[in-house]
Amino acid sequence: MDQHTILGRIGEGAHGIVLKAKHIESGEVVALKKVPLRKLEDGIPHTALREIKALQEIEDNPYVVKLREVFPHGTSLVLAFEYMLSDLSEVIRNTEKPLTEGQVKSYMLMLLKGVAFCHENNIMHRDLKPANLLISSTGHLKIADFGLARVFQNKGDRQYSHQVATRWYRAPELLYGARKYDEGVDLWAVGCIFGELLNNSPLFPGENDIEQLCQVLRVLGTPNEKIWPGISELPDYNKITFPENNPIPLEEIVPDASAEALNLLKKFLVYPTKQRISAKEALLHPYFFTEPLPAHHSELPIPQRSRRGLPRRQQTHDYNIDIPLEKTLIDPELLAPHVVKIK
Amino acid sequence: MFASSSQLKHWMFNNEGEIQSLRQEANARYVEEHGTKMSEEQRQAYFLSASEERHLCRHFEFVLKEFCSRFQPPMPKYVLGTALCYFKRFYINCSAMDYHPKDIMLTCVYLASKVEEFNVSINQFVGNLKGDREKFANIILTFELLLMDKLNYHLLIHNPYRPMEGLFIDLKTRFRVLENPEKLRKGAEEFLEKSLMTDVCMLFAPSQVALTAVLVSAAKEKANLDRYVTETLLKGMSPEDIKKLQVQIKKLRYMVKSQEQIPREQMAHLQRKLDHCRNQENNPESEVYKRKLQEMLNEDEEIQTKKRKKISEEQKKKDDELLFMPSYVPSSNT
Repeated sequence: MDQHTILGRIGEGAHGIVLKAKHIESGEVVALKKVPLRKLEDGIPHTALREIKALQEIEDNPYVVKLREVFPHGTSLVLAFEYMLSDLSEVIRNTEKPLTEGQVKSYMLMLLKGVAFCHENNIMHRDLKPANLLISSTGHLKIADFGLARVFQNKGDRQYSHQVATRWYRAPELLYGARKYDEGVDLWAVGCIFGELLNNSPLFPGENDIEQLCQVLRVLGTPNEKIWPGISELPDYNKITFPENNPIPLEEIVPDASAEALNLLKKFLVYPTKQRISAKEALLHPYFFTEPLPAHHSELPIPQRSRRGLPRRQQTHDYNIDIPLEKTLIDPELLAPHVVKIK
Repeated sequence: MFASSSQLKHWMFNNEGEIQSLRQEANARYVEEHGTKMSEEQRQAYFLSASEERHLCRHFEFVLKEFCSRFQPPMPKYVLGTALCYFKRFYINCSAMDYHPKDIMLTCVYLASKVEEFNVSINQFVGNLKGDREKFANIILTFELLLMDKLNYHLLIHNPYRPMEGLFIDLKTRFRVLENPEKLRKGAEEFLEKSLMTDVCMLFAPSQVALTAVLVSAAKEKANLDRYVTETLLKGMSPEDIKKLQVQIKKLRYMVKSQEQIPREQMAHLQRKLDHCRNQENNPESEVYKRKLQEMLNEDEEIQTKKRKKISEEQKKKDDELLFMPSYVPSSNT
């Protein structure tokens, strides 16, 4: 903690406050997640342990938020992450004009690269949603909040809790109470986020768990053993029956999407988890290679944190009084060779 | 993946000598720090030597194993494996005189249970202990953060259990000539259990430990797995690499087989010695420790009070501004 100057408060997490701070030695701005342990009956919370466990094992990836260090501070545990300006939920909420197709593609590309990386490292995130996809000051998207992440084992016989993932992004097998599942739960969430980006509103905004299932079934049709082998063995399958209804074509749900977008979306939103397209495969989908091409990150919106009345900064760069002035200036000599003369 | 794990990057050592010298350094650091005014003889009489520390730690490794095997509800084996790994890593860089192994042992098992998602509450956990349970809970929660810090927050442990399952599946699918591969399980499990009591988890990849376990068991059962190993499992590996692996397996086998007995008759004496020379600042039952903790809590409290005061002052200022009240000006009677 002595290594940091606190710059302000970012918000409140599930287990304590998140502070914005500057690492004195490197000058880098970080987000400090402070977990006070004194009042916790069972000691260090699982979510913090999972986050540390998952993020310590993976190498740096541009699409996964970096855990810079972990350290104790008095009776608290502090996790230092790279500082991120905003998150995708704010991007969706705040933009006055809807995202362009190129921008949506760009976000999807970054999201899929991050997810592919996690899955390659045997990590399922289990709680992908726009609020957990952070946006950096350069417009880049990075996956964060590994508090529910599990390091999975391929031939796993491990049972997991089905009470994971925020409801709107929860895969149907979880809604049916499945205790054995795989990285497919993340791919379902990716599909939901994709739909939300295309529509500018959540795809399945269920008010409660039952309604959530209703919303999914309304669009995908009532599942049965034929289209979803194994469904009848899921714990909650027999607890509730829904009237038979046929699927609604996704074209009607996401009316403005291009043909390629719809084609990709359909590959995420399928009942059997093994049939969902993997993140790695999805990256090769024609959607990303047809015009308009994914936007460059400089063309992405950079929203300001609007919460909690933090002062809005107009300039993109903070003035740093620690850096000598001459270092912040650019020598015209260096630029000269690159200047194109216009007659 | 083990290949990209923190275990391989930060917690694998080249040989036993390297581990030993790290332990000796930890011991020497403690003696140096706490025995400034003592002569060499006094130091020897007062402090534990590195090898005495090692005996004590091994004794507590054994206690740890017993505790886990009796734990209710029954504890999966990988929790024990992880806990023992934590314990060993802890005492690579710390002296047993600085932190008592019995405190760290319990904390290791508790943290390992959580990390391995074997979910028990602290009350359930200490319910497995005899004596003052509240005191134990307190000790565990006190040392949890310290333990994580000493482990460098590297929490994920690759145990040999999974690779062993993998080998069994592989034997059943790709080495059909072997009759009833399951007969090798008992011997292999016994080997793994014995291996836990050594430092193999800091010297060998978990898959090597698992393979050795299966091979040792096969030798006992008079099953020949040579063809499986050379023609199936290691197919395509260069002869030099196969040689290297053979050497590793031999070393591993030897290490597990030739474990020294824990000198139990010395234990009472060593523990008494430890009671004197241990660092009282890290003893949750000592007066020094309690005072230190109170100071820390007071400090926390002070910061909190300051914060609250600041917030209420700010609020007052805002309210005043809102009501266009000038700041308080003392009225003067003229």
